[in-house]
Amino acid sequence: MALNRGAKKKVDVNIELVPFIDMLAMMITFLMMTAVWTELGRIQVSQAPTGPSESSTPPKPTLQLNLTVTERSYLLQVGGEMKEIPKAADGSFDTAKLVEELKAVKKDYPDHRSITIAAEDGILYQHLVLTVDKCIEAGLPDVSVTAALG
Amino acid sequence: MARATNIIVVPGKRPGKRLMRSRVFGAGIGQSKKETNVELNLVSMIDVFVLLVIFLIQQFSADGDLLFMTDRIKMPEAANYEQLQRAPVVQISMDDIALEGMLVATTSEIDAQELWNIPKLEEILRDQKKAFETLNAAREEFKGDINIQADINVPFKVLKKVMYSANQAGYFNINFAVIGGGGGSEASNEAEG
Repeated sequence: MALNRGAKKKVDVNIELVPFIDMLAMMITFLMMTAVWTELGRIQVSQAPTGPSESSTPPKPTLQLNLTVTERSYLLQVGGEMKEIPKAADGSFDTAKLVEELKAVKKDYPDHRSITIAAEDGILYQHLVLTVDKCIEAGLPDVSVTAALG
Repeated sequence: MARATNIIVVPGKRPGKRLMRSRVFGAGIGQSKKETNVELNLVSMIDVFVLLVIFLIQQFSADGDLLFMTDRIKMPEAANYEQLQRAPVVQISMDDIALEGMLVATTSEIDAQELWNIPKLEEILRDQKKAFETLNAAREEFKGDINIQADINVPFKVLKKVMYSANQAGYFNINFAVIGGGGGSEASNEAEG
């Protein structure tokens, strides 16, 4: 019955390794199952309202810059001038040439940020996305896609 | 007793007792019992586990939950993209068009029709817009964002009808969902081939 007041408490604690390893294994399993290996993103395009809307009127562009994607080529309209960028020899769209032309436009109008893209009915979605991507790359981030053609 | 333990013997050729005792011929015969139990080095294993957990937590992203990933929709790649944000998702595969996983129309039907809009899609989007405005009237303004998750081979004819319907319903900011990374030129050539 003697009181053990003078006894020193043990300060060393043993970590239970088995539950710890179990927890790590479960975390790895869970994270592997829920892992997203593909990075998703978005390309924002605006669309001019076709009907009357309550929103404020869009600012008037300083330069009319339109790009039309056709089955055979890109048609780039800079103001009143129209340029055709035909497909490359391998049948793919000549995006390098497009970026070059757009950068030239950007050089002449450094403050210009917008471009309107129209496409033919048969143009595939991936080609449209590729075109929008290249326009953004050339320094024109305000891309509008119009369905007026076709 | 010693004999009793040796009753069961492993079948196979073995040299005679004298040969086994020989230093020259019996070298690798009698004494070849290696230890089969290996002690696991727990410290190293836990280190590897912890590193794996840290790596996987870094990789963890909630963006995947914003879209319904399906093998029927192969998304295009793009190099210049922004982070995906929460908005209604219109999925366009080569077979059907769905809004938030709910079937709206078949792609072939929309491709063939003369009408520019997709009435059902427009109606649901209008309802969603109305619901958003009712619930968030004081807190947040309706931005008109919509995510389009389309297959790379969907023609623009179908896409423009979806865009037109969204436009009519009041969704003007259209976001094309893409996979970040390449410039898309490789995928482009692949589809053409």
